[in-house]
Amino acid sequence: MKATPLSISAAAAVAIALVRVIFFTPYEMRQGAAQKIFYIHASSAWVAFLAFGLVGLASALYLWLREERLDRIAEASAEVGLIFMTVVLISGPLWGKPIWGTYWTWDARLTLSLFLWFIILGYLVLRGAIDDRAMRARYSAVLGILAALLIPFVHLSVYLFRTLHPMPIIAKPSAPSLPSQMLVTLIMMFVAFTLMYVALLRARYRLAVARDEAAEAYHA
Amino acid sequence: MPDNAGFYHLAYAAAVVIYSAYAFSIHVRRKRVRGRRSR
Repeated sequence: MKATPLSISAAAAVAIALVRVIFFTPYEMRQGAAQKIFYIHASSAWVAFLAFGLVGLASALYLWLREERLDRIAEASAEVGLIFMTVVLISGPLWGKPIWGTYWTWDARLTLSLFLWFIILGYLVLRGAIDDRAMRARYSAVLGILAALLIPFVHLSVYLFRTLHPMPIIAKPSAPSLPSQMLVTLIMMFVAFTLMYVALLRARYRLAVARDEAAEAYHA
Repeated sequence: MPDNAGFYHLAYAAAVVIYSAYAFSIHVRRKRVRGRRSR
């Protein structure tokens, strides 16, 4: 990944947010140090949803406008989002073991999140399996839209089903239920991770452009 | 307060490794594509 003003500011923002989490945010008395996993877990989840939302939007626009650029944006966002979702699925169980007493339970939020991860993995596998660019873009756009439709269900699953997963702390109708010091840390992590997502998305998009140009030069 | 700092350290270490490895993988793939183009 090239050092650009965007990637440098994203790295700096993440470093500052991590310093704040580690050294300037208090421990929660009942959960202890494991509660701090929440900052990386929730901000990775927010970015994963943002990324998959963009996959759905770019895919829908591709089917309408047939612009290759939109297909590349969807591809790049799906791959970057999958990385963030992987961190969600690793950090969640590492919080669950000390707090719930188990790494994993087949509860609605956890199961739907894993299901979304597999759909996006399937999306990327599908893209790798089709050589024809137009056909690949069309088929994956349909799958990208279907994956994005799952996002509201994942978010609302804690209301729709009886689950062990905690209720939303910020993305809810009432005021955030976090002490201000922890809330500031969480907001800093959200901003830093969103910047990191934009930087990774840009780098991954440029890779897709370079790859397509190389393929065109090879076939010319 | 419960002593569970090991899980906290492991979660952050895993996240740092995953994000760094991914950024590095983009760099490596980009270099490979550039090499293919120049050939």
